[in-house]
Amino acid sequence: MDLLLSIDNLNVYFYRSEGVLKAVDGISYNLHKGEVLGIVGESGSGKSVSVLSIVRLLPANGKIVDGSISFDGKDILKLSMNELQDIRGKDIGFVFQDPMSSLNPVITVGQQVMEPLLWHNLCSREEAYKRAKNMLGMVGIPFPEERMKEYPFQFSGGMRQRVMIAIALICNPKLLIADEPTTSLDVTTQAQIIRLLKNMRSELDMSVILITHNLALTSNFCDRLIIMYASNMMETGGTKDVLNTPSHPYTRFLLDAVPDIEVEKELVPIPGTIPDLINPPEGCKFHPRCPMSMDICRTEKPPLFPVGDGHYSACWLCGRE
Amino acid sequence: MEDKILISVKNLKKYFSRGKDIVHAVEDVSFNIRRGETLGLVGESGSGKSTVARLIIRLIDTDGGNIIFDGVDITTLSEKALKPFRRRMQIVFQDPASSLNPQMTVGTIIKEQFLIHKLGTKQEQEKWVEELLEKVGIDPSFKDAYPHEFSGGQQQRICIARAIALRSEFIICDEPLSSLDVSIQAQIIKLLEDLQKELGLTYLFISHDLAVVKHLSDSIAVMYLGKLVEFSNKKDLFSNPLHPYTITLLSSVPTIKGEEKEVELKGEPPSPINPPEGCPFNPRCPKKEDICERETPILEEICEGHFVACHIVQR
Repeated sequence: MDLLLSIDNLNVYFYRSEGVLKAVDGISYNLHKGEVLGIVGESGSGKSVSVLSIVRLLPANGKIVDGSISFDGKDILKLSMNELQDIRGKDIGFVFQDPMSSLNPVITVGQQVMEPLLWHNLCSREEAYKRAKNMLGMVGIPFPEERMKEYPFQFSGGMRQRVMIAIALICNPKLLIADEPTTSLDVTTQAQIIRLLKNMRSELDMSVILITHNLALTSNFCDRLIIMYASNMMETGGTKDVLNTPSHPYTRFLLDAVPDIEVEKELVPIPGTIPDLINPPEGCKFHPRCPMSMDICRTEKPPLFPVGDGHYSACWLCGRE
Repeated sequence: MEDKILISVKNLKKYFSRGKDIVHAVEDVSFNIRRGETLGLVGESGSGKSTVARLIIRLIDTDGGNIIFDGVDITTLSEKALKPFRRRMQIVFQDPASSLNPQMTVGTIIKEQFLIHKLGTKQEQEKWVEELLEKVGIDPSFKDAYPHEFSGGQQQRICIARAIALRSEFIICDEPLSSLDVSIQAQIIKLLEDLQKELGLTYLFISHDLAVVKHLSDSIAVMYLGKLVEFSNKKDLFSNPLHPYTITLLSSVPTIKGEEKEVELKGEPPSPINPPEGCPFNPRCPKKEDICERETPILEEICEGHFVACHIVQR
């Protein structure tokens, strides 16, 4: 498989009045063409920031201080704003958590689906209209022609998310980034949206990055997983490997803390809370909550140790002889 | 067994008017909750779960039906007559930040309960507040802090402390985990379990997360478009779901094992303003027959303790 995206030692800092917040602390990964990558973590783990950095969509106080991002052969960090605009929405499509706040309430849905095509000058207005209509049909919106004239408030939550997906896919992107796309939806709708994303992925042959806090959601969709905690990568590997033979204590905790509908089990809550990222703990970021922490965990940050085929874990326990 | 029932609702109805339209929020819902047990109430958003919760504790008035709390019909009691019952039932909401007064310290928020019900001396009230905070896992020395100084999980703990302050027997938890991170959710689930064991609490647990509901509940009620479609003990519901809606709902839940499920629900829930004729689920039901469009199925006991409202299953 060809490499589509390569991120090396990414460091993103937010400059706040209280101090410098390391939102992403040295993350590296590759994404191949056609691959589906899941990034799993709790709020504040840096999962969204790490992905928004790919198109440099960061707030004014956020800065990429170190590292390199290469997308489709281009060095993202060296591109001008105009060159970046060419990539955003065309080569990389985005779907965010809350469709209502991502859609413009005073523009018809049809216009919003056509907009990326027109903005990037990819086709004529008539052609854009036709393609928008087809795309809305493809994402499962009944009577697309009539509904194109309607406004976002006239759509239900699930339908709005379908509109978002249509907008993200209309330019035939090489990469789709879906940031918690089903968090505000009901389970039945969630199942529909994940099924839709899966179908669209194979139909359009694109790569997908799915950001979620729900491990179970990844099991059926993602090829590979990255588990993030407090701005760091804790574990990465094939989805089945990570879920069936988790290696990092945090991943194991995550699996034990979530009830599963098929397995009757005692829940083991993770003690403590997520650390303050302005004054993070030394060494491994998870050590204050980790029952297995050793002396070295308090002083030195663990690198990613190989624990299996393409399966890595940032835990000193895995690095011991 | 009858005397063990703490809450009994019969043919509960609630309609809201929206302009010229009438929203059928709750339609003929009946169930019992036994003392010391947890009833899980599940359904999609807009199915009327939260309305049922608000009706039971009389935050809003019913448009029909009865609510019986510990043998007393409280459906139409006056506010004054209701006050002793208010003490015995409490609710914990989804978003803890918006259910705690930002201008009051958490100590005062909890103490308010004792002031309203005129309980204890000042010293006693202070002592109780500290005991309650300790019980829910908050350091009592933080009682003079304000809600915004706590994390979401801690705020939810404070809401729970407030709910158990008056030694209430019955607590409604309305999506209490939805706004919390996964690692914090497990802590709150554990706290709710421990408190139930220690204080003998009865819960009505509302959630759209079926895995959590399965973990916590003794019996489960499934709502769809304002109606109860299935009611059963936990084991039967999950091992042998009968209503087509319950079956699709269960198959929609992602699991770690991640096996592809056969059934997928088509379409969207219809509007409760113009609910479909007959069975509310008929426009989306894979097993639909003519009768489903004409007659509304009634909740019937299919096998012991397992109630279903579906023409096809009942046959």
